[in-house]
Amino acid sequence: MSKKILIVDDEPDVISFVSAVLEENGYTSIGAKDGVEGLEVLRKEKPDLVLLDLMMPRKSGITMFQELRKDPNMSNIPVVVVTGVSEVTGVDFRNFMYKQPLRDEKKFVETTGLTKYTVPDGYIEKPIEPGELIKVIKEALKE
Amino acid sequence: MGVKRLTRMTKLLLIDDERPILEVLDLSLTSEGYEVITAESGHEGLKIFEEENLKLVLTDIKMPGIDGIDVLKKIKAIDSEAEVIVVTGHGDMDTAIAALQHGASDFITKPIRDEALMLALERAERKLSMTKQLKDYTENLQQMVERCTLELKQAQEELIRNERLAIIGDTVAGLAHYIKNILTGLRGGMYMVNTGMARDKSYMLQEGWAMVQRNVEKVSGLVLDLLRYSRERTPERSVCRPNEIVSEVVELLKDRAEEHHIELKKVLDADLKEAYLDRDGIHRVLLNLISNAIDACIYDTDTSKAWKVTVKTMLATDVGSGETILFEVTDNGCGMTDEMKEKLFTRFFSTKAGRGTGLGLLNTQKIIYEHGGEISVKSKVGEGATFSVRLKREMP
Repeated sequence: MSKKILIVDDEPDVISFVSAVLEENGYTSIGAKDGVEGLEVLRKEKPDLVLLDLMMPRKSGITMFQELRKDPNMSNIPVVVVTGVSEVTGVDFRNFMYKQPLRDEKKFVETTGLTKYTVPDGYIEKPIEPGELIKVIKEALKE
Repeated sequence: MGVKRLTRMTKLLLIDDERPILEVLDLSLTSEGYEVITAESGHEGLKIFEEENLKLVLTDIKMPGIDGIDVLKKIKAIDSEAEVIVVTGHGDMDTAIAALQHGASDFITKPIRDEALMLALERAERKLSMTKQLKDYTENLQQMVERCTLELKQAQEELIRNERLAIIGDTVAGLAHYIKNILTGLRGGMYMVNTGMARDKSYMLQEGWAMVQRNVEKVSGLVLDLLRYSRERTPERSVCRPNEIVSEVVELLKDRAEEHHIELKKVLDADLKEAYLDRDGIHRVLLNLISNAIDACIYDTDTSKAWKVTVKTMLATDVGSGETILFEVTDNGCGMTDEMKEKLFTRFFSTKAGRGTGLGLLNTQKIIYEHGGEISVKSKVGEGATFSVRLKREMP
């Protein structure tokens, strides 16, 4: 059976586009428009992987990611961040996420409620390149 | 002598009509280190005073011709900073007081005792030096003020320059993000159209094509907005019903509000019947304000709230200015900081991370100004916002 991927993004066009790319590559997909809906669908549908936008109304991708990792039922689902945040804010977010695990772990644990420092399983920047997206997904799924 | 002086040469003018007194004082003061110039009459004294640019004068009061009080008055008229000590007869308090009133710095009585004289001179000299210092300070202060003013002016000019650059920067950045999002949508649509055709999947073709259309729509909307903003125009007024416009816009946005669990409510004043307004313009104003209010709820992170957007109309009769139409759009969404409020109407400014052009409120404000109306906003972070629009009813 093909693997199921949850796309969380507040832009409906992105969900349509990404689901087309996924379908082309043999995956099935479901969409959610923000972090709140994302967590609901996640609990119900138990997808094999989550594609997560960061800047969304109601519940941001970062909050959703942390809540996901706190929940033992979902904490092992791989998450790939798909974001345009670096371009919008001018902050190199990939660097911020991956090159800084040297940040004070105790502080991280205190502020996030997570047991240890944790990072997403993949990261790509918008605009989305279909080839790159599939490559990162395959890596995260260890395919 | 009680006071020892340095041999600093202070020039002193001595005026007395009695030569023996003049000679004694001259001798005594010279030995104290003063450079003494003597004059035997008020007239002569004044002449010397003007020629020599003196600061310190000791003058007898009772003199034939121009007396001491006159000398004092004239010296003070020439140089108000000059220190004049008068010499009065013993017990002649009235004259002494008159002298002080005319600006004498001190008086001593005859017979002159050296000690009293020296003390008076010391005091006068101290006053002179203080006056000079004060003058220096004042001049300095003036220079400093001038320098500070110049620096401030330069800083201000720089600020204005930076502000303009910031506005241009914000505008370009805001528009660029918005256009990039449209491009992403177009690319996505193209990908789907291509894939749909190649794989013969008609649903993908349809969806992709719809996506292309939606994004082309967005570009034309943006171009129209930009044109509207850059063009001066007078409102095309017609008789219309403001409550009707509100209902139309609410109908248009109903689904979007519902989708995000936001209650969209209208409170219409039944007394407000017809008005003379640019119908399309006011439609756009309300569309902007109400969709902004909905966005403020969508972007609110406090999910415990029951979100609500209320649109109110009111007909008010203001004393003097006649009938006023009031539109009020209130939401209990994320609210705004003071900084955001400041930027709101002054530049292309969007908080919607590339989903807004920053043009909405600028155009809203423009339309209202063209109507001769007013728009204002009240907001608190986390509590929501109220936008109020006031327009004159102005029937033709």
